[in-house]
Amino acid sequence: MPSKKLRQFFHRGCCILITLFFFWHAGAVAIYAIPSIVSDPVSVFLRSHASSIVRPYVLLTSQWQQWNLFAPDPLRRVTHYHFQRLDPVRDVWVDIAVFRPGAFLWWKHATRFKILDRVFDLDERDRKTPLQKHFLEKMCREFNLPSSTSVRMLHRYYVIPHIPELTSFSWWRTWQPAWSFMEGTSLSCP
Amino acid sequence: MKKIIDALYRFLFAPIPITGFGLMRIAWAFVVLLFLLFQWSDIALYYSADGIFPQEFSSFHTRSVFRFTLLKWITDPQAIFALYLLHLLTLSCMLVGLHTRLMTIVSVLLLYTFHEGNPLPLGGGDTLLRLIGFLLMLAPRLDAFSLDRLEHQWSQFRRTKTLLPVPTMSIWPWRLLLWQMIILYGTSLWYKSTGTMWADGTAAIAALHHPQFSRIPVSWMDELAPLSPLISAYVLIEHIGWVFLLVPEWITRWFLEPFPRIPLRRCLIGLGLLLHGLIFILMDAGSFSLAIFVAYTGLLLGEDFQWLRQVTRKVSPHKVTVLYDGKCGLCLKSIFFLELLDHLNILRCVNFWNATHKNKYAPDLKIEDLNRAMHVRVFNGKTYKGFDGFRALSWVLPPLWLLTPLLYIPGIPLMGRRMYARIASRRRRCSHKGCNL
Repeated sequence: MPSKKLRQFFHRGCCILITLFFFWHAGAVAIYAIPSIVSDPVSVFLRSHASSIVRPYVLLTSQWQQWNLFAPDPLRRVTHYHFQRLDPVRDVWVDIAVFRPGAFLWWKHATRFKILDRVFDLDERDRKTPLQKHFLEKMCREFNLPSSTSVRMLHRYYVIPHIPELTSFSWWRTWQPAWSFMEGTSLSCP
Repeated sequence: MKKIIDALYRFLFAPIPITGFGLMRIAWAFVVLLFLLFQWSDIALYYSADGIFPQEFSSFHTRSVFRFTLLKWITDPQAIFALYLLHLLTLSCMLVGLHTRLMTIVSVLLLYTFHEGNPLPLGGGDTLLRLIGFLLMLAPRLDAFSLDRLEHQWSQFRRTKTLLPVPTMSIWPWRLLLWQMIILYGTSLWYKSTGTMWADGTAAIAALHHPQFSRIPVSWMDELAPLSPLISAYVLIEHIGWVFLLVPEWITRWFLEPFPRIPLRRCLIGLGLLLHGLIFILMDAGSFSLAIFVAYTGLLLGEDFQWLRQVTRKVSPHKVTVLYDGKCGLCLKSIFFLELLDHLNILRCVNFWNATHKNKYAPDLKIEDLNRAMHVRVFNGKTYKGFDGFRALSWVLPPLWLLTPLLYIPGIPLMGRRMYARIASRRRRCSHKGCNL
């Protein structure tokens, strides 16, 4: 049985270590969570200097976080994803599957749409093309499409306007969305 | 200097009951288990080399450095499914409190493996669950409401007819959890302040009208349009409240003097339950609302549970008397479990063979009747016995509240009474250690 002095020394040491860890962890997650879009001098300084010090710890312990859900503004673009193949006879694009809200079972809905939004993010289209092509290849196999079939992902979307009338019941009753189209990645099925 | 050190020691190492973190452990395991089960048919699709995000594509959506995941080396679909089944097992053990510490650590690390393996499906709720999991791994004690502790509780009860006192732990994990919630709401508020829709009151209705998130037909949301500024303001005020927790109490005390002294944290949890509860009902935001509720359970302190008991006492001030056969081993074990479930401290368990107690609490009941079944006397003096007694008890024992409506389904009471009568007539075959019914 360790002596009383040894136990006190051990207890004091643990308290000091826990105290140091407490302030280190609290500071690290706070610095890492600073919004990436703010530009005040203190935030910029912390993000550019202190962030590099805490980053390894935060990433290794999976404490990374950015709390931008429905922020700065809620998502206003509503996108339907049309997985299409080219009909070689009529030379028109034909829907094979349409991923619109309600397309998935309720317990998969949020997850599947997150994946679609992130893989087919139009703002990062150039960078993510290989990932998008891989996704389309998987869909070729899932839908048993013959080799060399031309397929693409078509983005059909509308944007909820940002106007004061959004708070009016009667405005919503008469409003019709203005649909737009954007062609996404395409490839030939392997 | 000594005063500062003492204050710092109290700030980080004051003892708090482990009840809140024990509940948070159970809630965390339940929510993670639930959302993992939702992915049952998609495990290979999300996490294997044959899926949508094989590791060679990871650089397109996540970092390559400081990233720990077993999925870098385990890529075969069957192996990954085996890992997934292992995760379900560890979460189940964590839920019931079997080898609690080990199962918690393995569950959290496996969660990290899947999250870091493919971040594409992750939302805010998954992030929060990861953060809470880290604190659960570090918490000094997690064994409240656990099977690990049940044996010790039973030994104590057999000797003294009382339960073990609620264990305590140092407060620092709780402070880290509170700090995390302040960061969550504070940085979210910061983000919202850089936009325009939350300030002009249109954010709420725009979010509710997004069909990807809305659980109910968006046309029904039209009715809520005029309330959007109010809802948006409520959200912002709720966020500000959490940041306000950083203001020391000695400052808030002097200008909050005229108002009822309900702790701000408790108010915020209440407001948050309303906000996130409505979000959960109206919108599909993944696991976020449930993750927030998990964090709230961890933020409950002893004074909060005490307050809940006081509120319940005002509603039903009288104790519920349970008369049982103290000579029967099965009955004693049943009373033990009732005492464990009696979180509101509302039960008074009386051994009817003790003449003094029997005459005090149930002078009108005959020994012959008491010997046939457990009797439960409730607030209005009404007495129920057997299965009906158990059903009456389910109203006052919080862990049984989910079971209560089922006990009224036609057919169940009839079966319950027959089963109870059968067990009661054979109960003498049971000792404290075992039963031969």
